[in-house]
Amino acid sequence: MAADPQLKRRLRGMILRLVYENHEAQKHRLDDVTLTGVLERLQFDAYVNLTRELLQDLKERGLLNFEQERDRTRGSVAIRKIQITPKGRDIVEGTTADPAVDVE
Amino acid sequence: MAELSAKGRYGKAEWAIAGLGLGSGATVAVVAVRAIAAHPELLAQLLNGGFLYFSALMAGMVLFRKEFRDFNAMQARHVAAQEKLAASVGDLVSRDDQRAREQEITLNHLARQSEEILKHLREMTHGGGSPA
Repeated sequence: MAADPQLKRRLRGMILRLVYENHEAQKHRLDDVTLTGVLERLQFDAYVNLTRELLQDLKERGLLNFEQERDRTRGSVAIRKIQITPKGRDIVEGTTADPAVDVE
Repeated sequence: MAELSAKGRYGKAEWAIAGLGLGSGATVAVVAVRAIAAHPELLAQLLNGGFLYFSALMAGMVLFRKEFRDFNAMQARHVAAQEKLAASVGDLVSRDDQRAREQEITLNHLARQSEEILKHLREMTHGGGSPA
């Protein structure tokens, strides 16, 4: 099941915003499963693998950083300790814009 | 839970071993009864020689060993059940923690959103525009 590009842009923006707000509140750093839970609660049609894909994409764009752990027994990937970069903060604050990230 | 079974490690061979032991015991008993019937004077020697105590001790040891093995198996099962219970309780607690965290982050986000919306509404009202 592939999400459409518009939804992905929206989800990227929402993930970035949630990480920004979490950082501002000085809470523990987020992980992929918690983020997916929050997105579900915000009525997004999200699932863990989609969240992981978007997180990896945001990291490649230099907007986020995180630690990725691979479970050799199960072959699954876990993403922990997500943090926002200065470039990501600029997007949330509206200082800069990225057409691939829809931050309302 | 196969490793926690009260049965020994020989499986069905245990039946054969038990049958063999029983048959040998029965044969020895029959031979002993016949010998005593033929020579009743040997009975007094047998009773005074400590053979009966030795036999009772051996039988007791065999019974004790079996009971002890069953007891050990039961203890192992008990420990395994306790570990399972502890793991399940741990899972429940962490799931509750996870839910609470998700809820907290969601609420934080919604509260910020509401605040932002109200701010925009106030700006629109004071700016002379209509909120609708």
